[in-house]
This record gives sequence, structure tokens and C-alpha cells, in this order.
Amino acid sequence: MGIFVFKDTRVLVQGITGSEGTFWTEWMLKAGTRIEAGVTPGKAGERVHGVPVYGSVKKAVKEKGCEASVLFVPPAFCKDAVFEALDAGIRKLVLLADGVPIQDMLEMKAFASEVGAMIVGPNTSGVATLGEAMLGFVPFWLGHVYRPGSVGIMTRSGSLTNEIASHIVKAGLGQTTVVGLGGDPVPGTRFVDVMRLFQADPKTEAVVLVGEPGGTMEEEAAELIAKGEFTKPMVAFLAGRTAPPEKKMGHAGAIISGGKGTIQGKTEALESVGVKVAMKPSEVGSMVKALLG
Amino acid sequence: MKLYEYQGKELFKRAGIPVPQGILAKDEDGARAAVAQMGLPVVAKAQVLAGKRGKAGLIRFCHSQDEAVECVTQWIGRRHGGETITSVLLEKPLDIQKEMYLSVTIDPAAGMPVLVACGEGGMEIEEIASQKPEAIVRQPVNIFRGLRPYQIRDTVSEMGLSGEQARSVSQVMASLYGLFRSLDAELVEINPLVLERDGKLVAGDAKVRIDDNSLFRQKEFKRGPEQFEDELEYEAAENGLSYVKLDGNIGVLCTGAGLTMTTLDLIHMNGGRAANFMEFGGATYTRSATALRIALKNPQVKVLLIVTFGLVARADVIAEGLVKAIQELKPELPIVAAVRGTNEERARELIRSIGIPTYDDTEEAVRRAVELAKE
Repeated sequence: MGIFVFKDTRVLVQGITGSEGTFWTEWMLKAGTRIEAGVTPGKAGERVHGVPVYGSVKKAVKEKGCEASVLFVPPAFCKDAVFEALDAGIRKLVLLADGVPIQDMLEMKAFASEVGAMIVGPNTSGVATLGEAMLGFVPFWLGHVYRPGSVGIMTRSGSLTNEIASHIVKAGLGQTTVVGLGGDPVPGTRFVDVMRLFQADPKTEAVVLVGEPGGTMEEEAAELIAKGEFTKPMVAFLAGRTAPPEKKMGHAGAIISGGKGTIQGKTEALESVGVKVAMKPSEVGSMVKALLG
Repeated sequence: MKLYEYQGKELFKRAGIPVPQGILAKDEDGARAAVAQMGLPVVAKAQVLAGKRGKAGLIRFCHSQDEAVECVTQWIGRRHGGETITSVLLEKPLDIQKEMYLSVTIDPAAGMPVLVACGEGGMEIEEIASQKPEAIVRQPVNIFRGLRPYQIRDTVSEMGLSGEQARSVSQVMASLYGLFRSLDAELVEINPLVLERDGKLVAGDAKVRIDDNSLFRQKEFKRGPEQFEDELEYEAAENGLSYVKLDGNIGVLCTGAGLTMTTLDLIHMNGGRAANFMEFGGATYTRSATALRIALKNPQVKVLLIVTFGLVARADVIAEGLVKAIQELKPELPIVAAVRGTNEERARELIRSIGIPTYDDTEEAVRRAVELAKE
């Protein structure tokens, strides 16, 4: 099990014939992902690593029953590609692009919420359910970093997640699903959305939250716990304790503005509802282990 | 990117939002000509992107042409925060009856545009929010339906406006929302929105921030060095890198925003101080070379710390790029590296081959860098 994407999920790759799409399709297939089709307008009939390419999402869905889509599409074209997928009935999307215009994202989010779809990203490394499927570029092949287990990870940052995941494996544990929410100010999916899924997944025994300065996602996570809607053990690691205010720290969403979005505030919110907050990445593994007994 | 007040006011004017009569002056002649054309008195407002210019004395009421000239000649070239003043807006003063606040921005938690309005203005919205939170009206907007007339009616009524005032504020709200959408803005703000004694409504100030990710289609705007507090930050951004100058002596080169921030935190926890935030990524050699070159331009740097845990970028590709750049630039300072990810064994060999110690563990590498910085 795990969440969001499974070994039997029928996956579509939008932008499959581009260099990134082609390169990562191979790795996604190696991860066990059931990639049924690819789409690139004007490239119908081609094949990429054996995957048939269609000219439209509608056609791919009709022929292959795709349920989820991972998009290797440049930022300027993401809105149209996402709208096409939503119109064709796809309800799970992973939007990898870095640099999506924020108002395009507002439109995508509004459309997704109207039809009850979930968009993970943008500006993310994707989603991986270890041992089952991977959408994006989570380096599942690094055995000392990722391996199937019982810990769910939700994160705002890719490289840091590798670091944290490696300490989870070092502690003798592994992961169910790793979900990268991405570094943009308006992510399609928020921590609380992922927590609801992890709560319902019997295989996920604990969850690690990897946060950053800026925004209110960590505080919302604490509220969900306070309301009793998430009850599994949680460990958080928050990067950016020493980040200066009013400066974008790499991610457009990682900015402390008007005194809001500080790590101190997020730590207090999470600790007040019993979340263990690690000060160093190396503490995460042992803290999760201790919580699981 | 942020726009100057005068640019914002030009956009307002185009959208039918009234602005004061004003002329931009860049030198003494410009100041004299502006006063000759508009008459006296005038208000001189230094054009800066950072806030707090009133407190810095960069807004002045001028009763004579000489006073206006003095503001322009003294302010231009002066530093305000990280930027240099290059122009001064000279405006006809407003006859203020009432000040209000109006903006359209993005509510990131809701993922929706939001109209924010207040019947009182003139101070920063954060101040109003802390002193009189009940006076602020927030109207979330469904992006597909747009700002509806009923939402405008509700907002002006909650602001305590009626009659002609309500009508003219309503028009400004509709125009401001239109501008927010057409500009791909993150923020369009009028503070204060001034009601003059003769009943006219005028935008006293203009704050506009355009989404950097939309600059490819907002071709009217071009991001220049004035958007950055430090020239190295601009140079980095032009090369697709994220760089923030800090005040310590450990130069940092990392992949990923989160890992970079974590590295800075660990440096701090170990008693050291980072010289910069620097995130580079992508499987290109040139980027790590550029990142290295920019990091080394800061003369404070005593030790270089490289921490990567590649996703898209393979560790060996990053290592190759770094090794090449180090051999080319020959930095005469100690370097510590923790390079992990796909093909990390080869990455380690490559880096060790030029005599640089590599660590498997980020925290160990950080401790070593801090030790070296203290020597």
C-alpha cells in the first residue's frame, strides 16, 4: 500500500518525448510504475521505451484507461496540459515543472478542486511509493536512502528529503510513500491533504514532515492533529531556523514575511500537539524509531 | 519583481485609476522643468523598491524650486538599504480628506486571489492588522468567476462607504483586480487611496509586484540589478542560481533549497557562520563552475563547504563539474565536501583525486568546515 500511486495505477506521461520525459520514463518503469501511455501533441504513433505515444490525453485515457498523469511539461504550457488532463477525467496529477506562473497555478488549483482532483507540485521531485511506483525523479535506486517500509514522508524540498530518508534507512526503517509538495508558494497539495491519506493507509505507521520557512502549511498540519483527524506518530524536521527574514531562500515559497512563517512559530505549533521536532537530520531516524517502539 | 511607484502609477493611469499629477526627475534640470510645469508646492518622493522611505526621510514637501532641486540632487546616488536611488517622483500634493487601503494579492493557503480593503489607510497594512484587525475586509475571489459586482458592493459597504464615494471606490476595485490579472501580479496595492476634499479619489502610492515566473509573457518588464540587494545576488539569478549574501566566512555550495538551509542551520549550531546561501542544481557542469566563481567573489570566504544530495543531477556529474571548476579557478582556501546521490562512489573518487576531503555525512562535513574557519 502507501498512498497516491500504486503498482496497479495506470499512469500517463505528458511530455514523454522530450529529453527529460524520455530519460525519466525509463527510471519510472524500473521503479515498477505501470506506464500505459505517453502524450505529446503531434507525436502520436511513436514509442518511448516501449510506451505508446498519443496526440491527446483524451485519446490516451480512452485507449489505455490512464488514471494518473506525471507532467514533464515546460512551465509555460503546464496550465493547458493540466486542463487537458482534468478535462479527460484524470484525477491524480504530478506537476514537476519549476517556474510555473503563480496565477496559472491558482487556475489549475481551482479547476482541480471543482472536479475533486489532486495536483502534487509544482516544483517538486514527485511521488514514490517504494517498491510499487514512482512519478517524477525520486532516486529510489539508492538502497541506503530509500527502501520499502512503514514511514510516510511529506516534504517541501527534494535534496533534503534524500538526506532525511537516508537517516530513516540508517535507523533500520523504510518508507511507504514519499510525497514532494514542491517549493512554490501555492502548492497544489498541502501537508494536510497528504496527512489524511497517510491516516487512512494501514501500512504507514509514522509520518515525517519536512518543512521550511514561509507559508502556513506546518501550522495547518498542527491544527489537523489538534482536531483529532490525524493520530499517527509524527516527527518533523524544519529547515531554515537561521534563514534571514524577507529573503527568498531558493524556493519562492520559503520566505519569512512580516514576521510570519518563522521556524520558531512552526516548531511551537507542531510541538504543542505532540509532534517531535528534530534539530538535525540525523536525529529523525532514531526519533521515528523511538515513537514506533 | 517589484515595480517603482512611478511605474505602478503609470499602470494605474492606463487602467483608469486616478493618480496625482507627477513628473519623474533624474537630475537638476529635470527637477526645475518639473516644478516649472506643475507649479508649487510639490512633494518629492525618492523612487525605491524597499519600503520605509517615509521614515528614512525620502519623502519631502517642497515649497520652492530650490528645495525640490535639493531633494533630487541630494537623493540621487544615495543608498537606501541595498539599492541606489536613481530617480525622484515630483508630484502635486493631495488635499486629503480621508485615507483608505486597497490591494489585490494571493492567499496562498486558499490558493485564491483576495481583495483586501480598509476604510483607514496611510499606515502599513501589517500595522492596521495588528491594531484594528476588524477594520480589514477580505474578499476571496474565485479566479474563474472574477471579482463579482456583489463582492464589490459588500466590500465598500463593510468599509463604511456610501453614495458617490462608494461608487468611485467600486470602480477602482474593479480596475485594480483587472490589473492584478492582466499583469500576472503577486500584489497590486494602493496605500493610501486618498479621498480629496473636493470628493475626488486618487491613488496616493502604488506598490506592484509581478510574479517572476511570468516574466516570459509579461514582456514589458525586465528584471535588473536594482531588484537585488547585492550585485552577486543579481549575477547568480541571471545564471539561474539562488544566492543570498550572509555575513559569515564559510562559503556554501549546495543542491536544493531545503538542504542548503539545513546546511546553514547546522553551521550555526556548530558555532560557525555562513557567508552565503547558494543553491545550484541541474546536471550541467557550467552551473557548478558559475556557482563556485560567484561564491569565491565574496572576500569574506575562508572555507568552502560543498554539500549535495542529487536528485535529477547525478553526483558524479556534479563532481566532474566541481573538479573542473576548482582546477580552473584554483581557489587558495580549504574545501570540504559531502557529495551524495547517484554514482556517489565515483563522485568521491573524483573529488579526492584533487586532494579535497569528502564526507558521507552532512553533519560531519559541516563540523570540519567550522573547525577550519576558526583556524
